[in-house]
Amino acid sequence: MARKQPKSSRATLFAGLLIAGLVLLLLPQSVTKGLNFLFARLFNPVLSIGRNTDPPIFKPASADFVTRAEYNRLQAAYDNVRAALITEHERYEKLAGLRSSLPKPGPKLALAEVMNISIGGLRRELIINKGDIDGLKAGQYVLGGNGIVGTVSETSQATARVRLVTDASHKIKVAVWQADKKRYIYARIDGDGTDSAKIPFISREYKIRPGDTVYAAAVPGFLESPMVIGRIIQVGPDEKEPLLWDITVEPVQNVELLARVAVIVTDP
Amino acid sequence: MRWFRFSILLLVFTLLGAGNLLNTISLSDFNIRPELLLILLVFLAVNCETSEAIVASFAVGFAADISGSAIGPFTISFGLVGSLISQMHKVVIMKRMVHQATAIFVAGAIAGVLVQFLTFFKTGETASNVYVVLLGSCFYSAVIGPVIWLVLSGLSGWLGVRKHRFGRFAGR
Repeated sequence: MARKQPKSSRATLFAGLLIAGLVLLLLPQSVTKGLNFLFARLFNPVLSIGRNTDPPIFKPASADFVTRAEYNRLQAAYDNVRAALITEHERYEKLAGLRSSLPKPGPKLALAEVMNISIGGLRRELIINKGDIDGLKAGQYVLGGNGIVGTVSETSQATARVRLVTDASHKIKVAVWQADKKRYIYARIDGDGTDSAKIPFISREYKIRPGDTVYAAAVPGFLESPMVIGRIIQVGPDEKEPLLWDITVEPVQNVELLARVAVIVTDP
Repeated sequence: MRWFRFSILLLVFTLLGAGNLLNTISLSDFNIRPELLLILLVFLAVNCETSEAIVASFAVGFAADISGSAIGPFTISFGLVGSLISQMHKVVIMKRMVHQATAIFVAGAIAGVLVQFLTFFKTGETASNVYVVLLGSCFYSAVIGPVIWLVLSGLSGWLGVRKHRFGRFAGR
């Protein structure tokens, strides 16, 4: 007759494993994130199966037409240059008449390959092949094409995790450009876990229209001048707060087609 | 339980869950996908002996943590839920697909809420539309679960998992 396993050993086993789990939970994220990055690097070829970076094939009717992706890229480039011009103009107005000291070094770009894209449930993020040794740190903005696609959330020595603008836990400060008043409206953009993002808490007294450009707001030490994130595709009264707008933003860059990104690395 | 073979199966399920292949069958703009590790957890918790189920539950949770962004939340949540289910299999025999689907849904909902809470505790991050995605993935897993359960039942001999027959191994 088989001997019945003592309940105390099962309880001990459960308690031991639970304590181990609690220890893992209480260890700082900076200590445990290495395991996640190791998994991503080790199994990158397998995890990338199913990812399609080829854009849909389109042949323009004539030489006067370009693809939608190319149009978006050029439009974003134009918007970025215009925002940089406005920022430089404001800076010049403030500094006019003052004697300048040594020029402050501008930000540099760290080009990185996209090792893997995780899109599923609430998580929307990239794993890139640059990390601490390349000057990356959490909070830095990441460019894809000509638009901001997200920010660096975690880094290891040679790898980094980029949280996309559409990730459900991603929130950054943005500036909505009002073409008629030639000014920015500052707000916050919240990813909602889908292919778009939301801008909450904008009063309906502001004239917001579909097509308005949304920029990542300049942040000292991270972003010198506003850069394009996307365009507003839908505006309507918020169902819960009728005095506010319900604004939906579509990112200017289709992240699934990205093979390379650039991280804006600012000098300390 | 043949632990080396269990490790291989666990690795396969982890890679499928963390990769992009399941996006081909994802639903809605939220990319809701079935949680294969959840289905594996419930299957092992129901069909393994209690001590094996406890170890397997924590191992599945740890695998889910490693393929995610924070270590700890899934280990604890899956460990607790799997251990609880392993206690209940003495009372409930999950032969029918409806019972299996229900167990997967309930286990996923409880574990999901725990994971969100523990992740917030560890990282301080919150997310929008959490419960929509959570319930959606639990429901999708519950629908797909019985099919995966059939496959796992076929592999149970290879894994060394002794499937419970009605009344025969009850109480072990």
